[in-house]
Amino acid sequence: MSGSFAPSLTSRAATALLAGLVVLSLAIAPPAPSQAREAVDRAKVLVIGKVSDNPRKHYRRLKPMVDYAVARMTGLGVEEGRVLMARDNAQMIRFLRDGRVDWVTETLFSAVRFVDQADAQIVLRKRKKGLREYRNVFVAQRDSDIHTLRDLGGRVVAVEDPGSTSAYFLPRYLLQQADLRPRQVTPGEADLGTDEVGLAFARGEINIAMWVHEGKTAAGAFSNVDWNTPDHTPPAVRANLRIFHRSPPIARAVELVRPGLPPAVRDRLVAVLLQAHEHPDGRRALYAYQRTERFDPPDEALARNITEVREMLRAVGATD
Amino acid sequence: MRITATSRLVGAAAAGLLGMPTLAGAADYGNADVLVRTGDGLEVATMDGAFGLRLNGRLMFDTVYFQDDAVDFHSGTEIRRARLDVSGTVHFDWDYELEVGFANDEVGIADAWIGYRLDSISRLRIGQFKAPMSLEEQTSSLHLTFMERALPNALVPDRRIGLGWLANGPDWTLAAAVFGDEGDTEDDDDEDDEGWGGGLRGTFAPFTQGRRAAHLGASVYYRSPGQEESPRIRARPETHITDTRLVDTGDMEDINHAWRGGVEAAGVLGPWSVQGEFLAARFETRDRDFRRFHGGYAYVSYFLTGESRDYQPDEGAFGRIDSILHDYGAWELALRWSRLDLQDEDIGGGRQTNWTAGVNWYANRNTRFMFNYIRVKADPVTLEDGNLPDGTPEDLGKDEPHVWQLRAQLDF
Repeated sequence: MSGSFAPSLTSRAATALLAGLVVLSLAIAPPAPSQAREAVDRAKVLVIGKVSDNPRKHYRRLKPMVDYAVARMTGLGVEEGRVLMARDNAQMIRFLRDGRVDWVTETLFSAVRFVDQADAQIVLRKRKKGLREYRNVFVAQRDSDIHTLRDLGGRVVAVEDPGSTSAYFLPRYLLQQADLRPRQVTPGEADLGTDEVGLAFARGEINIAMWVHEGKTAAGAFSNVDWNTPDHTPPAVRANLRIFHRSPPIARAVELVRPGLPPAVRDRLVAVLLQAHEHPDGRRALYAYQRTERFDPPDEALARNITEVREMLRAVGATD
Repeated sequence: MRITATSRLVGAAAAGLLGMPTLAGAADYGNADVLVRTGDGLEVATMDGAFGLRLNGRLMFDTVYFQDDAVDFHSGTEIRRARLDVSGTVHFDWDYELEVGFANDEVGIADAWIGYRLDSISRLRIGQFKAPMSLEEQTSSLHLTFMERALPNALVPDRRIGLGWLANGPDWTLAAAVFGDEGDTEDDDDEDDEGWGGGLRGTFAPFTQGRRAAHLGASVYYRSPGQEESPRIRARPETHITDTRLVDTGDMEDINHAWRGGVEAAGVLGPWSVQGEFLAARFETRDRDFRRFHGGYAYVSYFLTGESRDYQPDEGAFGRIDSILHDYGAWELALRWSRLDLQDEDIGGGRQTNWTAGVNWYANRNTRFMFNYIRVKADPVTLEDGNLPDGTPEDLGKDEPHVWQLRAQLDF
């Protein structure tokens, strides 16, 4: 038998190897941009933000997108991208007014409020996995006697939670347009006038489907995406329900910029984002950015939606 | 989800308590607000993503009854796990995790590592963490379908201190790591050696669509034990309360190095799911003799109440049942076959085949109760160092006990 086998490494050698690997990996890993400078020139930083209840998770989604944009802002003096999230719409409006956030991604309902109360500008709409818009759908049990919104008089509808535009504001507005008076109730509420509709908060898309399926409420309202998502509407439940009303389409999400953002920066940002889906690293950043497929420029349909949403917010009496 | 004025107050109080109204390293053109969130343990995080700290924990209590055959097992109860986990982020791109277990009046460290995020798909990790092997191993003990991992888990290396590189996309994962010495581990079930080693695991989900998913994975692992150590493979009969191991290779002398490999497959179809793995190990002695062992398991599970198991294609493992459909919780039935063959020409470590029937009741997303009934069929080994209790007859041909066990589990 020729040759000899390699002797096993002693544990001291193994430790040295490990230490060497550590040093090597630190040497080749890109250095984290120094984010803790003493004083930073605000003009050199582009800040992206969103309203968030999970900052660490959303940081991972926003950072690659802002870094991608900043890398393509040569000649404009923007050198660094940062993230700043807000707890709620009111705080984001303050951030936009105070110039602490440059670029915000939001659903249309909140975006319209930012436009009206902070003078923000909607510059792009987001396309998520091929969907540019969504619709609100009202569902009832397959064999129920509910066929139009008017049939909901005196009954209870399950909606998500007061903060959800698709599963609260929009259904509320649609009910008002049908000359009904929506008000907040618990699911078992029986004391409703014939032109009143009870809105019960199910606090979770799957709960909306389940409540209708189990007869806890007469109907439910959520987005068509939820209707098509098995986790939110399990097939066994869906088989027992039917859609009896669909809203007109509403744009899903838009990008906004703050009022004082230098026009050169804004225009470059828009140009870069419109083309991001054509480049591999752009696509990677878009995917991290809440699975965005691409961005589209504002069009007639969006302008119509903005007007409709503004009208909805006014009719519903939304503040904050 | 709305953040109420109360939570804002709590957040500010927490920030004050932690002594950080303005954070060094945070956005320095203003203060970074702190948010407190619950629902997944307790988390405190700054609004600019710079810093976050999360506290989680788990408690598991078992009670086990043995219907002995030839070997005398002791029925009883135990705190199966009592663990606190702290994890988080510092300075935007650095992550960490420290998990400490307190069961059996001992303090043991599970995961303990420092991580650095290289880009949106990959990260480095240094410290103590699991070897990149086996779907069941990578799945948290909180989300296993049965009370214990299957017999072939004895072939999966335990946590060690090392350096890892991990990457993932929406439907794939890749993990590579090199390991050094054995760390201070919580569970002492696996072999016991020093030295160094390295492993690689890749997973792919050919499709995931709502409540349907498929998983494929494979891993390979190499280890060269230290001079003084003799590797050993042994397994409890899928119940943790006993230290009696019916199958046990004993300390294997003169091992030069060992190769291990595994293949994994799993599928989810609505309330149904299947999962199986095959694992093998080949130890090579200094005289070029081989010692080969292998094992596998396969199981099927079904949710009576309509839920599905939660497969996470970007992690290559299963997670929590998030949406429980009914007020009365979720009920799951499961059946598993598993086998471990530690019988080689020169090493008579025994063979064991188990059938387990399980019933799980998920009271809510953080609490569950489990029942397992195991039929053990073993060709056990009797070692000189007493793997079997005193009084057990020598030359025991077979042992076929039945095990009945219950668990209460909560995590936050």
